[in-house]
Amino acid sequence: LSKITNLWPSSLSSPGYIPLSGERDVKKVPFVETFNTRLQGVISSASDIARVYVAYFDTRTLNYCCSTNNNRPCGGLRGYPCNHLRELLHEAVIQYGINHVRQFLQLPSEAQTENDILQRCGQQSHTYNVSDIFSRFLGDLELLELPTLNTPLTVMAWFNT
Amino acid sequence: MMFGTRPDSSDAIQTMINQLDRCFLYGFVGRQYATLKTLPCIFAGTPLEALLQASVEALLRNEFTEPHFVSLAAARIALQGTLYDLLRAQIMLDLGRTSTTDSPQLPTFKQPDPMLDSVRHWLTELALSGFSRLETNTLYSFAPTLAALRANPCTRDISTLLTGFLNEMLAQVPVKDAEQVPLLRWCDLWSTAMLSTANGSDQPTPTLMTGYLYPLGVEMHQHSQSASLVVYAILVNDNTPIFVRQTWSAFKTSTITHDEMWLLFPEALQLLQSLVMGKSLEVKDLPVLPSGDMLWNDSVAKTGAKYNPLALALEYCVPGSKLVIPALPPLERHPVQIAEPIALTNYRIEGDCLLNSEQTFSIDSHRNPFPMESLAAPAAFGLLRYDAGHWALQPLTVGNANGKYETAAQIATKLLKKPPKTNTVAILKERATYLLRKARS
Repeated sequence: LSKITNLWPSSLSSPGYIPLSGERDVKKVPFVETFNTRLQGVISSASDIARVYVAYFDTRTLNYCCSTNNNRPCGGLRGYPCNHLRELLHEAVIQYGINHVRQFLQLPSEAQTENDILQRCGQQSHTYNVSDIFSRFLGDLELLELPTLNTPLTVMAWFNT
Repeated sequence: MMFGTRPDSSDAIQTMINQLDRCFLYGFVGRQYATLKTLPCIFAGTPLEALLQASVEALLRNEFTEPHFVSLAAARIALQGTLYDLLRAQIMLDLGRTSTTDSPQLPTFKQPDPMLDSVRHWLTELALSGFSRLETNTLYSFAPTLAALRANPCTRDISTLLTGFLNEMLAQVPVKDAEQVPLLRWCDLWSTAMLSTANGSDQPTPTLMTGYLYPLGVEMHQHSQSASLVVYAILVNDNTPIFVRQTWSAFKTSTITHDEMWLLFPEALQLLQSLVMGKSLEVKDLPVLPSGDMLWNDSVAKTGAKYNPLALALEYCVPGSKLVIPALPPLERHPVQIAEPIALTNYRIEGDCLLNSEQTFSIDSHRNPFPMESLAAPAAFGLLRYDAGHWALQPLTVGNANGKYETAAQIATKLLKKPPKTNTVAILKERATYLLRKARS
């Protein structure tokens, strides 16, 4: 029979929780996530309220992409990451902390700052359909349109962080 | 003396739970014979015995089908429920409390829901692969089902739980060290979800109550995509003080955290303000469930006389006082659900403990919203909690030197009455209205 080291384990503590490490600017970058093999998110256009950019970095290669949600490539991409990608990375570091971002992107421990990460960027990528990222963002926003309930919800006793 | 003992038999139950949980770490691959075989004997003479006997035999024949995993979930829920009952009985004894109302409501069964079938299927898949061998694709593939579950308010409990659980698993996959898996926690979440797919009980009928309501404290629960606010109060109905709760819950984005979460709950303002101002509420025909959960709406209440929440807590929630605490429905009983109200006075602080002349209470560091030094107060109201073999006090409302009191409700009402011009909730809600309308048109 397999070993049991601790007779009284906790129902509440989970090592996976990452607290927000600063104040996120959701006006500029309303959505960021580490998902599958990409650090991805949505960035507001500086000039047009109706437009957003969808951008991502691939893990490991750090290939990157930025385009509008209608799949038009971002004009700021000129062989290096545009400002949207920089903003995305900046907000990801606030959301998850530099250590998690580095580990998620599978970078060596020398990459200690956002600039270290940007210097390792690969090439412009076209492989992934950004509309999937945009739908994940809409899915996230939909959470805010679900009704508030006034009924008991005892399952939340497990969630305190 | 450190407050809160553990009943003798609790060790044996916890050991059994731990052994059963090991089966979920590496998946059901036929190495768990010894543990599984003991299960039916443990439940000998209970309604679960025959079911478990059949399911264990099937699992030992490598028949890994969903109903047998539902049986395992039921066994585990029953073990945790027993632990809850034992711990609760012990704490009642320690606090000199005698009665709780106890009219176990039998769950009623709803029509089968194809969405819940998918959940059960997915949970079975998780158990088969084992928590240390989870694959990202298994986890990602569940997202569309989960989104559909969330859209249905009737399945709010299971969708809230699974949203938190899924995010937690995603943050840890691929698992590098099996021993780092929060096994008890994940098995708790797994079995709670599994059983609610089979149970799907309708809400019991509320009773309409009339009397005076005195809010005593408030707490916030959260995971990255959900928040729930709970107000604890005493309802005095026909001279009988009843401990009641009001919960509001909402989904949220992971960017809404800390104090901004209060902005999700404008509905709570009246109750929170009653607590902050120390003004009781006169309620008429307030719906209250048998579990002591109120179903609040502002129209049942008007402002009543002034009260001091700590003075009231010291009257009704000190050890030995007469307070009716409704019992949780049987299927929800689990040690994490213990939230025994307690009021303390004449104590001092030592390290991370509160001491009075007879007992020492350790402070629940995870759930304490106050800095340790501000607990040096003439009186405090809070909840006794239990986790990882220990009792701890979660302070909710604490006196201060000038005869007033501190509660999270103060910052909450301040924000709700005058939300900051730019706040995450407002920015994202505006985005949601705009972009979702556009996407749907």
